[in-house]
Amino acid sequence: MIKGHFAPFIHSEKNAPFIYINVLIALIPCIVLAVVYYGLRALCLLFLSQALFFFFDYAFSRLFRSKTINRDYIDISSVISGTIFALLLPPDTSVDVVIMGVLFGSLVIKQLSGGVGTNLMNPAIASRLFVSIVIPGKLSGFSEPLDNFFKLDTLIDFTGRHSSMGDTARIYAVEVLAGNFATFIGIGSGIAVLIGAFYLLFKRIVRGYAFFGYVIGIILFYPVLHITDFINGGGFRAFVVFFLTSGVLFIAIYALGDFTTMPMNPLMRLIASFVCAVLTVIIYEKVDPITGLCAPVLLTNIATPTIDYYLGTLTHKEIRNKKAGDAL
Amino acid sequence: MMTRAQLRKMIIDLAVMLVLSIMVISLGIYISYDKSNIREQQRYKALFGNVVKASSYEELKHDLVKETEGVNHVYLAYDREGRIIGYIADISVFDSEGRQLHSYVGINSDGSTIIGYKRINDEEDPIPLELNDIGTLSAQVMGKQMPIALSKSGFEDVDVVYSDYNPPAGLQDGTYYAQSLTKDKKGYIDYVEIEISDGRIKRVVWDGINIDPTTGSRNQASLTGAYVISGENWATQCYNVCHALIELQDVSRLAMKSDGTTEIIPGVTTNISAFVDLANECLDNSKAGFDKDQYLDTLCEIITSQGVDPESKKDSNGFIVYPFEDLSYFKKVGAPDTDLKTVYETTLTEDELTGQEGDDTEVTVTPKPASSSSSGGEDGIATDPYSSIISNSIDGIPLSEVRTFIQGINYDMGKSSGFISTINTTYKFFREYMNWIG
Repeated sequence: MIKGHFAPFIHSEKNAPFIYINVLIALIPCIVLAVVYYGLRALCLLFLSQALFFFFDYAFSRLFRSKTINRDYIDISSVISGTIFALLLPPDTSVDVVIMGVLFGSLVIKQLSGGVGTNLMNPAIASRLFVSIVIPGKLSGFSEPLDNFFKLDTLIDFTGRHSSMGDTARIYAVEVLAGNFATFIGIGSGIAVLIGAFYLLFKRIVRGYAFFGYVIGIILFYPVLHITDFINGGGFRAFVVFFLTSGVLFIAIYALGDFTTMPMNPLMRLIASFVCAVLTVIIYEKVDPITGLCAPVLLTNIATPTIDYYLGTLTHKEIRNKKAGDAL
Repeated sequence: MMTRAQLRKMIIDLAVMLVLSIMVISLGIYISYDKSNIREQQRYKALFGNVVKASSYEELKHDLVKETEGVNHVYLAYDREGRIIGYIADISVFDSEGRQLHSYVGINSDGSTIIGYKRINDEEDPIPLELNDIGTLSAQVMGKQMPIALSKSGFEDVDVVYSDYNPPAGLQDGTYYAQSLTKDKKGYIDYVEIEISDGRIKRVVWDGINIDPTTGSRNQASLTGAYVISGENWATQCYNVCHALIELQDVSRLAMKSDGTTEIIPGVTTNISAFVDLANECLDNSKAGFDKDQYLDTLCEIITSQGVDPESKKDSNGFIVYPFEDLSYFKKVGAPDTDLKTVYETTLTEDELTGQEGDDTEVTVTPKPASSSSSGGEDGIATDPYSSIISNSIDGIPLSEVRTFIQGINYDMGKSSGFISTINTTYKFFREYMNWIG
């Protein structure tokens, strides 16, 4: 099993497949939410996105990096990227959008920068922002939840469906908690995201610096930017709705919890996430929701190598290579 | 690699998360379901309340919705007893340059008549139509049957009606017009416009212009709720009266009673005496070859003789909004019924007109030849009923199906086509849907 690999070998319960499978388990509430609310088309989008991300990553690695990759390693992170990407889509999205997004995320963002563990930006988030910028007209099909479980025609409606997102100013508190309003397929329920977040934090799969940095940033900075709303009344409700339904919790745990694209230093991870939150609050209401959520994350990702460089923090890969070199 | 213990633990975690997720989401749906319905209805009311006012709405789930090009959604509108009172069609149409018009069209319960219209204004590349244009177009189709087409020239209110009745003898072809010389209690000056073709009444318009330029026509005001009468709104009653005249071909067949009402036109409870007087005047003018242009010229000259510039009294549509305060001079010249043609045929002196003593300057009104005149047919058959219509079909609908002709925005097909296509797309859907439900 270990033939052909360099020593030393570190045995840890929390190896990469273990972490990724646990992240997938943490995503189950969001996946169940997507399938229950939006039916078979959500399931198809999820499966297609996961399968394509996995296939493209696998195929590219085998074709172009067959000598350097570990053939025994199965990259489950591709499946997670596919899941996160699909959960950020509107329910009435056609398959061509998924194919385009996955191709960009897998090949351009991930494989061209060296493959698993070396990507500069979060592939799922970059893919989602990419399709949002390139084909925005095909990303505005927001059906109401529990509309029609068996509806599948939207998957092949390549002209794009047009129906608005639910107006969060009008939704009831119980709908906020349940995520029962027209929004992206897997991020509408803050409760569902929090179940996954608590699972990851409880199992110590993620440390929580990024999550808490981002959440604290939102909690502190949102009232500052909306001070007049808080003074005039209604600001608190708007904040709670934003916090639970906009997808900031989803981003906090699944985008900023990524080890590869966030700073290695815990304090810097906290600070970077806080800055990311501030940027999110500033731009969220000025742009479309996906740009508001994804653009700050990608900016943080881009800044990460610089932060790591100046702090002298080494990546896992660099540590491993260094140790291998020292041993020799 | 994963150990067997790790795998077992993960499967347990997976199962626990799955069960927990299903429980939480089920609970969420249970507690939010009623609220979602309430919110959904509130959303529908906000969207459709001014298209079709109803107690509740429901989206129509039907394959025809998907199959009909341009139809995004169709909604049912219910009253409190749960009866269907209308439909709302969500329609998107594109012009030849790819520009879009996205609208809600309100249709009555039998799927034939337009009862509401609203532009959504969410198009990426919209067909350029101002708010006023939309108001003008929607006012022309409100209460009218689908499908619609643009008339080459003519009136706001144009219907193709086949009639078995003979018209009065001696009607000459052309456009004839008459307007009240005084305003009513609410400041409206009534006018009637009739087109005679082949000796038959082909088109009739009845409306009132308010002396207050900020107030719309009576037709528009009745649709916006600013002018309210008992029974059906005024626009609908007016439409029915005009329709009845085209069908009956003679004003006397409207059977107006002494109190100004009629019992033979369904849905009409308003006083039609102004209409009857003006329509009779139009028909008399037709017999005399005194067309609309001559009428308006004469009216301008009379107003000028009052020391008033008639141009200053014209509204944006060219109507002369001038109520005479004193009609005594009409009587002096032997026109007790204030028939403008009688005035027109009479040579007056200024002091006769004004009732004041002064110089002897004569104001002579010279008759102008009628622009076109031909003897009307009297065989009761409407020949070439579409002579004033631009094309033989519209939006793939043969003109024989067209129920309403509109003037659009200054008869400009380029500006009006998006709106017309929207209505006709709605018609095509309801034609199939109503056949489907039998």
